[in-house]
Amino acid sequence: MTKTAREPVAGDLFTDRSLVGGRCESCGETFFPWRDVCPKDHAPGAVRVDLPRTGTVWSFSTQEFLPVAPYAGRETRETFVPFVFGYVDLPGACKVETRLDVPAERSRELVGIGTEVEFVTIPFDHADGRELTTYAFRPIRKDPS
Amino acid sequence: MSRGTDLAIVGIGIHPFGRHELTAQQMAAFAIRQALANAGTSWDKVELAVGGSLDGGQADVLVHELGTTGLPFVNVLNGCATGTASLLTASAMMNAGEGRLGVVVGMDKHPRGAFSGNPLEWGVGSWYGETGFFLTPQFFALKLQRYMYEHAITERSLALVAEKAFANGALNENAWRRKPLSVDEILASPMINDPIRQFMICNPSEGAVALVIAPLEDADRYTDTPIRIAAASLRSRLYGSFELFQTSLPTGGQPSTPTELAAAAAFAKAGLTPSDIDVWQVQDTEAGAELMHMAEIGLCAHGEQNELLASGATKTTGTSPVNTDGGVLASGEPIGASGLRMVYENVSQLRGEAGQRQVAGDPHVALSHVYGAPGISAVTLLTRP
Repeated sequence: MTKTAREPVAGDLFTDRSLVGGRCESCGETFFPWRDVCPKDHAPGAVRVDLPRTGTVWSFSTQEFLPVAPYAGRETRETFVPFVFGYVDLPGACKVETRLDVPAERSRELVGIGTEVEFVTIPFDHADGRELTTYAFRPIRKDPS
Repeated sequence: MSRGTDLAIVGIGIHPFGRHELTAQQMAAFAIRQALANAGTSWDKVELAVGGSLDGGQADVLVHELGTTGLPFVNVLNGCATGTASLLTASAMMNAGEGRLGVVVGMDKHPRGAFSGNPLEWGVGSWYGETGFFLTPQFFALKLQRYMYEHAITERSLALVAEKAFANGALNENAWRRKPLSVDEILASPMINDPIRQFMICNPSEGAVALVIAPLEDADRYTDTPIRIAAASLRSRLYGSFELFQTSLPTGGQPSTPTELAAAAAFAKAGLTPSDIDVWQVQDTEAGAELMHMAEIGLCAHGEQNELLASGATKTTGTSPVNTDGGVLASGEPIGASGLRMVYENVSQLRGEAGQRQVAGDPHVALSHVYGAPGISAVTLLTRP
């Protein structure tokens, strides 16, 4: 099967493996996404770092209706499927705001606070026709034993 | 801030909140005329004015309607804190000797549906909006979900907040939502952002509020019931505080919230404590915001809200009445007018003019609190001299 070459929704947010954040060289603060000036001590020159691939859900919620602009997903009122989002606490780094890749109707059960989740990329079909990817976290699949 | 002359609110006016044919400017002119009449004075006597609006146009254009007298008229915009920022600005101008009779006005008229905007103007990338994060209710839902987890707050408590809001709104001729709703109806309404349901969250609306202010020593020229502005404080967020539109947060604990900072500043300035407050108006963008802000401003401890709400303590008949006019839930939120609506209600309560909503016990001290993007809060304390 040929892999479709989807582009990320924005450069500098993530790779296939993890989110890309920034770390301040002077105070050590880690944040997402990367920016030159540290949001904590305002020193310039933050370096890019791969953020941890796994973490725990800090909070979550559901988006039950089609968001208004600037949302740019391709869905219509008729085709929109509610999605789940939240903050994931990445140990030793920061909490990141993210989509949580589980069905909205099962969110309380699948991504309750404290659930262990891992980084994934998911398709994002832009209203302008581009087929992109964005980042998300998903409950860590337990190996069947 | 050094203390200047004691200032008082000597007149109040309001254009009912809701959906109207009028422009924001027309509603504001209505509110100003009512406030001036309430103070027994007229526009030509006004020596300074401050006003604000997000979508309703520039407040100083009102001089075309009210009179081009050459007075200083400053426009202010601070999101949901616009009204308090206007009151602060007018107070500072008065203390700086710009005039001895001032008008403060807030007005707005928003498009229907959820608030929208350009993420780039809020310091986040366009991808943030494109992928569905640029929605203010999402923040309140995430803050609330975490808060309910940490403090064992129940969904029933959220419904009790909303039930109270619509019950109070039904008694307020200036409210928008005037139909009482039961806890069961609220809990059966569609989910918007888990755990927030349709009847637990406000909508943008329209309306205007005006205040007339003067030095307390001049107040008896205008009214028998002056209300002293004991403090008005506005604060923005500290690093690491969980606020709207944040792609990441530090791990670990959080600093004081803007609400906690603004409340502490206002109480210190006024020499008052939460135990002095007789009536409270707090930002209730959604039902959970009311109960979280109750703890942040010192009305109760974190986690006490289930018990307080179940006992009816925050009803107009309770020991700590909250959002006696129905709050944002029953009034909707015209951004520029919303904070001044709370001040209007507190003046009405302290004057003993709140009719069927009047709280018992001869209230002397009232607090109002606003919160909004990008993480600002303002607290105003009023006292009856």
